[in-house]
Amino acid sequence: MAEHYHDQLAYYGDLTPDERRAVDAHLAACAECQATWAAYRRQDAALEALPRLRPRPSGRRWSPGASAPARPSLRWAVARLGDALALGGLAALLWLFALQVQGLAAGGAGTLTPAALEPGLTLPPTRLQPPSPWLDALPWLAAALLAVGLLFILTRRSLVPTFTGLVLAGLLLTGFVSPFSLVPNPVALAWRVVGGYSYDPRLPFKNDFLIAGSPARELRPYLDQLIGQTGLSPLDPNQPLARYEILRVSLHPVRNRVALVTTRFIYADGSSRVYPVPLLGPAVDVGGFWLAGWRADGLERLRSQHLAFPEQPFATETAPLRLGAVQALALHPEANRLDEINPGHWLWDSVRVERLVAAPDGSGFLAAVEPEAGLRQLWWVPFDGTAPALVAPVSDIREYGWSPDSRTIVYTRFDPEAAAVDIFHAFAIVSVPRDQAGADSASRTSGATTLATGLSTDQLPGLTDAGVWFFHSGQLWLAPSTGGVPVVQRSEISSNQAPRPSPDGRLVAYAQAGRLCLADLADGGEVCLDDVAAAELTWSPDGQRLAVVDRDVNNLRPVRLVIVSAAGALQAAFEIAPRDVTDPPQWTPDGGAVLIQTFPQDGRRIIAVDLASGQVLDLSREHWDAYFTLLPGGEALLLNNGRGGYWRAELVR
Amino acid sequence: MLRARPISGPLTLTAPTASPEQRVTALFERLYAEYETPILNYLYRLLGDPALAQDLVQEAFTRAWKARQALPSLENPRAWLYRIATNLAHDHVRRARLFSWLPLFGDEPALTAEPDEADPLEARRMRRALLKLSPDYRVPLVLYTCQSLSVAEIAAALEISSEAVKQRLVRARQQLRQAYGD
Repeated sequence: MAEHYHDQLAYYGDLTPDERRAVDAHLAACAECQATWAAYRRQDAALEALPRLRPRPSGRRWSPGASAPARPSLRWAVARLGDALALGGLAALLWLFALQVQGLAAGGAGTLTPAALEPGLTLPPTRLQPPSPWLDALPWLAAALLAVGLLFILTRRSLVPTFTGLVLAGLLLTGFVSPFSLVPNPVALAWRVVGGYSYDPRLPFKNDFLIAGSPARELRPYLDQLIGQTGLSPLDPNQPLARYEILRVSLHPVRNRVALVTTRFIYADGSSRVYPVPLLGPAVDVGGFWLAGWRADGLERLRSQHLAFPEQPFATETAPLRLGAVQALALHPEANRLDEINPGHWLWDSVRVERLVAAPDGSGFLAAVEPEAGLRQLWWVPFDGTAPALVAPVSDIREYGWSPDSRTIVYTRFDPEAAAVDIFHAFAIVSVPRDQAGADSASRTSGATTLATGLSTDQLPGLTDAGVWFFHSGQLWLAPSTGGVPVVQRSEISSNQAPRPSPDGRLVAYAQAGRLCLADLADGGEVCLDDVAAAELTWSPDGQRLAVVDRDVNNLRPVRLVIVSAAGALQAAFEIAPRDVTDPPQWTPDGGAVLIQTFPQDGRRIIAVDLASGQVLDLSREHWDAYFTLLPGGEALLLNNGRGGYWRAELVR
Repeated sequence: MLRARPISGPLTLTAPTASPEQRVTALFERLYAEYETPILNYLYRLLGDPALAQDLVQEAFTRAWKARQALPSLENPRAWLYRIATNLAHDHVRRARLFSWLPLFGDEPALTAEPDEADPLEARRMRRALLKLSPDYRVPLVLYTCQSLSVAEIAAALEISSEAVKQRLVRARQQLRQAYGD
């Protein structure tokens, strides 16, 4: 029994008849292969037995759009007609009621917008528009009237049970259904007395807390653990948290399964900030009513202590590289609110402000904001305290960066028109003069130039003084910074990633089929390193070395930072993360160190490699789960951890 | 383990009198009717999140619809659909890894959602084992075992060679055997 057939058993169904005969004959006589075969059959059975889903019967489903809109069923149409008749009949009654309640609201409770929490700020545009509470309330009003009417009929017009039902319906409506709940009611009174905080009475179903339990009760144990701690927002890097106050509990205006507990954090020096903690829906939900507790919640990021990995401790006071004093940046208030005003803020897993990219002249930074799922905007945030400006209007922004002279912002985006032609080449490169940022939408559109489209990658293109470099149709192109059409620099060269030209434009580094290649544009020469799976590449400021993130696509080995000379010689290699993706390396201006944002186990790490000593250091601290960018000059880092606020941390060497 | 595989050859046009756009629309609607559920379950297997799979399957067909003009010339529209769905899943995972705020010291792999408590114990064990596989191995294994694609179809969907598919299936099986505790 010299040869086994373990491999062939893995794809037995695709063997040729001859191969299958050979395997079958072997199987009959080989106990080892029989065991493997039985194990694979058990795998298949278990995989087959996994639960199956059925498509949603309604909701967001594909349809051919304008060409053939989905036709609603007859049953649906009859039901909607019934709804329309019922709503029409109630409209007059509701309108009279609305007039009365609006009068109460005008002089009553405040609104739940961040502006109301910190008055005097002008908020950037937001698409958070609560639906009309009246529309939400209509079905419940109809149901209450129907119930009372039925009671009246079924009790043969007996007034006592009808009146009792009417009182009960009124209590339920004023207790649980906005805007009826604007009227003082026993449930609201109980919360004010027992809860010790207020809620937004304009939002529907606020008093579901009575059934589900207060989300604030779930929150307190975690906040208690933060007392005495330092960190980044909502903690303070320098002042420990002294205490907190829960100010208000409210529900998301659209997704009413998300609660927001607005909390004031008070630090040791007496300063404070308001931070709304989102909590996701309750554990048990029957027919829209919540019966118990609060499950997975927005506390995840507060709860994460962001401890050092055992094999990669935090940098100590004696480390050759570490972070020194940290201070909050005095930016325009709107900059600090970029991630505080959108609905994403309510969901712990949603995206808010993402990676920051500092302008090379040190005048500010770019930040991408996702106000709602799939909608991304690019903002320019100046350091001089002026208001942030929208660089790109509503669009699917991907990666973004600067020309070396800081005069042009370049970004990539998903291009639906290109996707319609070839879905696998669906990305475009756009450049916008910085002075166009914040201009009115008409001039901003005219100022933006699409340099190329139909690209296979959304990676940021190569940016040098000469212009913007990218691969297209198996050729290397340069869109000159002086304007004009892109020009082919070299043919028969391609990659599924973006090219990285050296600062002088003489060499181009790129990843090709899992290896690193360096092409000399002057003499046409090329050298490739087969054992470097290049994921991210950055040239040193002097153009003599290349910092390469060497990451196995299968994540089977640790991620390495590799230093390669301009001649293609491997100079040094350092393990920087257990696995998973990283951002591009960032060189200090003197070329003595490389900083890399890594995302091991889905946290954010500030990894620094000191090239002189060969030490790999984690510059993070506890409660620092932060994005960073090295500021021009290399003396400090810009930090943001998606909870509002930007910080400057001195880089000590 | 020999299973009948659905026919996945070129789609034929059935109404010669219809306009080209109408014929493409009819083809696409047929594809949608036939593959919405298989691709939904494929994404569910890959990502382990039912709500996400429901969203992505519609997104996949929306993308495919935008590129529908390629349909009549496709040799294997099924592989084409799976390729779109796979790319969409990869795209989602990449973005989720880069930008989501997940618990730092959770024991769940990056692709998982919360477990469905209604799962039978055995199914949950298999799902956890499956989610422990690297996406490069998980994708061909799910396509082969759960979606009944042939090696050649998987190669077309993933744009790799048939030999590479076989190699990944072998490794996926081995890794799953370890992860599943078999």
